[in-house]
Amino acid sequence: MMDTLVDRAAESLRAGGWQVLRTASLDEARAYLGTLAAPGDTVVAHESSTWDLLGAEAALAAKGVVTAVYGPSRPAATGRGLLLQAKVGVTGATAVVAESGTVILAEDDGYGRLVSNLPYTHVVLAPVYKLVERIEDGMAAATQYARLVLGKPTPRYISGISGPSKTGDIEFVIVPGMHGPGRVHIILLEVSLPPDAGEGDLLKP
Amino acid sequence: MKQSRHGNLPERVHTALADRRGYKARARAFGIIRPRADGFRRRFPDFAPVLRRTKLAALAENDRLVELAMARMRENGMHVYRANTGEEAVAQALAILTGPGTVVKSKSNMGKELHLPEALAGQGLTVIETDLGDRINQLGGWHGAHILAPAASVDRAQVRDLFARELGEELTDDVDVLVAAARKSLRRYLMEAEYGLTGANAIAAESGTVCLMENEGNIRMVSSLPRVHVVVAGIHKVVPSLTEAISVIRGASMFGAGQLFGNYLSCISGPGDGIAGPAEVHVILVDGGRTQAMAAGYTEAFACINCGSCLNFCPIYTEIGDAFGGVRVGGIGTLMTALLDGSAAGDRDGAALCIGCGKCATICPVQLDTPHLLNRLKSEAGLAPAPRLARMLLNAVKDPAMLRRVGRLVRSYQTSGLQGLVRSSGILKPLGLADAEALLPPPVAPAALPDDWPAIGGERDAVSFFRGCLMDELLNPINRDTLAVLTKNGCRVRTPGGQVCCGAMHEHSGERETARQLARQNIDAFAGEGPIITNSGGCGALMKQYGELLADDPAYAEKARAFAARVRDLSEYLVALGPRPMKGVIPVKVTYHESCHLSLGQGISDQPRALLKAIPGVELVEMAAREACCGSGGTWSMQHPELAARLQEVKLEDAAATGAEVLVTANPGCLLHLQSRGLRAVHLAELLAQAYGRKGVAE
Repeated sequence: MMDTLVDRAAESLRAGGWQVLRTASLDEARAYLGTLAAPGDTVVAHESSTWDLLGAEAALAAKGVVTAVYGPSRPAATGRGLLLQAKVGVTGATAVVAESGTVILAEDDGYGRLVSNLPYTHVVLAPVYKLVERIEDGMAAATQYARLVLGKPTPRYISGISGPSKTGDIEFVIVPGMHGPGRVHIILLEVSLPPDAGEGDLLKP
Repeated sequence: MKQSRHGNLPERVHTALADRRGYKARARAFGIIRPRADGFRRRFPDFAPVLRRTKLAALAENDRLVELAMARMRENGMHVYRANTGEEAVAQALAILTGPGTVVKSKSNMGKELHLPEALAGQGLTVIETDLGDRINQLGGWHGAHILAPAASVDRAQVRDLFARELGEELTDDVDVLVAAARKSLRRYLMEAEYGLTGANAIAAESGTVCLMENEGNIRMVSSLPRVHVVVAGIHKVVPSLTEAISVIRGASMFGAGQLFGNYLSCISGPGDGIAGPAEVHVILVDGGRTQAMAAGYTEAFACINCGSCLNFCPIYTEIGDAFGGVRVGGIGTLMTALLDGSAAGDRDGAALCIGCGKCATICPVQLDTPHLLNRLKSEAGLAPAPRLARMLLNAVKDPAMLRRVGRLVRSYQTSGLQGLVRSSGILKPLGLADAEALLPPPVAPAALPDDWPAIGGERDAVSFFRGCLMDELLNPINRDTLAVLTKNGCRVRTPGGQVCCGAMHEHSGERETARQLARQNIDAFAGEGPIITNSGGCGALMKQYGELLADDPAYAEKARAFAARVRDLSEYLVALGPRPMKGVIPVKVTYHESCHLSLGQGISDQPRALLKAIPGVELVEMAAREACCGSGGTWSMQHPELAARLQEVKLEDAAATGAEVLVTANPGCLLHLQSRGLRAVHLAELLAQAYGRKGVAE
């Protein structure tokens, strides 16, 4: 049996330390996200179409979770305050590289970097149409995103994330969570791009 | 653990050799990383040659690319400076980081080169290392230079004490607890710091992008949280575009970290809004002598992407760690220091410690041939001048008459019984000759080789034999065995007169002109056609490079290339010819030591093994570290006796562990070195001659 791109990506991601959920069900994805935060916890998100698609903000709020969304169309009135106290950070992805299990996130605003690096848990929401084969394809998606969506040749920031933050500096024992997240989750959402979507929508987080 | 960076070299080596904890930590780390890096090298065989071309092409137009990068980064809103010297770079940094306040920094080779942390501290700034290993060293006041494992020699109890003091909390020895404590402690500094300081893995000119790769996430923090982000990088880090930058990062990931792609990639193309990203990004591009060194013909050195792979495989670095170097470590580090700071600085840091095995070049993502460049600097810039004893030997071997006199002296000394007396009395020790004395082979009677010898059992080929200086004078019976093997295999063998030492030891010792002169003499002596056979891995490796050695000599360039193309190692030649069946049964268990100059220098690794397996009765068992260097290295072992003895000891222990009765090798240097401590070591030709009945040459 031939492995699909999703199979290969899931395997690489797991090998890199990601918790991988593959699902076609928005309910299941929402519920999974819900298990990662308790009432009273803060979840910060970098704006993404999948976050909106899931209605994550309302779902988490209903659970008593405090949420804040950062991104180009959401003026950051709150500064870094919530980012610093958040337990969970949720981002989308510009592309997900199957070969190396790397999430590529292109952005101009920079909040995606903070959301994916400050909280101890990072969750990536990625529809399967974000999957690409190699790192070079992921980088191509990042620059294409800049051209089509940001209207410039290169996004200000491109991040590549291949697993939890880790160090082996004490006696070569690999320990997660050195500076960035010690736990990383990715929800590979098996949905298709809406028929009316443009090429830019394919690349938006 | 604290080391003087300027202590005299033998002392530094001695101290480092005594640090067994450091050695074990390196051995453990390298044991993990080596198979991974080697796996990627095999999986992507085209990667290194392509990245090499990419980097060399970028360096060839470095001026243009640096200008383009500066223009594009400025268009992106960054502040960009070009510093011609290290002093200018430091002054520029101090003008940006005006202090007081806190600077959080990530690992940076350029930071080290500039001694920037010290300069910043001098301006009243508090500099905090954020990479855990570097932070441990900083808190402990220790030095550690390896990129992969800066705190390799520190144990968890020491780390516990450091962070307990830092946080004012009780901590356990649990590594998870310690990492959590480090996270908490460092996060405070990251949140409050005014300045973030990083290096760069690569800078993409066209898009004006600084690219960084890491595992911990500290670089992401350092480059996003402080108001000001300062990047310091050498001008050689500039590549044309993001595509090439990603190749550099892939190279560092696979070869340096043993990962298909590094944990975190950050590509930064401008300043942020002051909340989600630094309001100011400053990039200081440092020349620091690079342009000059490249103009002098050492461009290749700057293709280095600082991944550390060479260190992970270097036999010397494995033994003594950071004692092999100063601010920069290992062969490439001392090479760089010699190029940028002068030969005296290179010598101080230990450029002479490179044994020239060439392992680094095979596992480098840009195929950088550090030993070759070091050899050039030795001859062009007086780096690592050979000590007196080595110079005596070098003078002796280039002159056949002198060599014979030395050989006679050696033999009379050995046969007179004086040797035992002198050895037991230790009288040579104060003269510094004891270890060199141990290099001497058992006494042998010299015998002239026949000039022309007919094939036996039907002629298949006509070849010329290169007898080599050491082989001929000190290991003469092996040459006779070699002739026996060749004639028994149907070769008519001519041993031309007028041939001299190959020049390898001279080339490795900064006497390139002598090596070139010897090469010319050999080329003249071997005028004609047909294979030139050698039984010395070291000689073969250099003679195959005669073309390059004499490339700029119009009278000899063409002849040198033709000569080089004719050179064959005995095993290489025999396997290609198809060895005739061997009738003699030798019931013995052997292990094979592959000479670096044969296996790495010439890519001959399978052939000697195939021949051994073809000998009836011989059982070949491999050593655990079959590729490990034995510590001979021509005159190297005379210059670094303690280190040579350690490598020899490791090799012999490995050989003993196989249960083999005999150690076989195919290089005189290795053979002399490995015979000198009692193990029965023989040349491949000796076993082969025995298997062929050893009747090919009149005794």
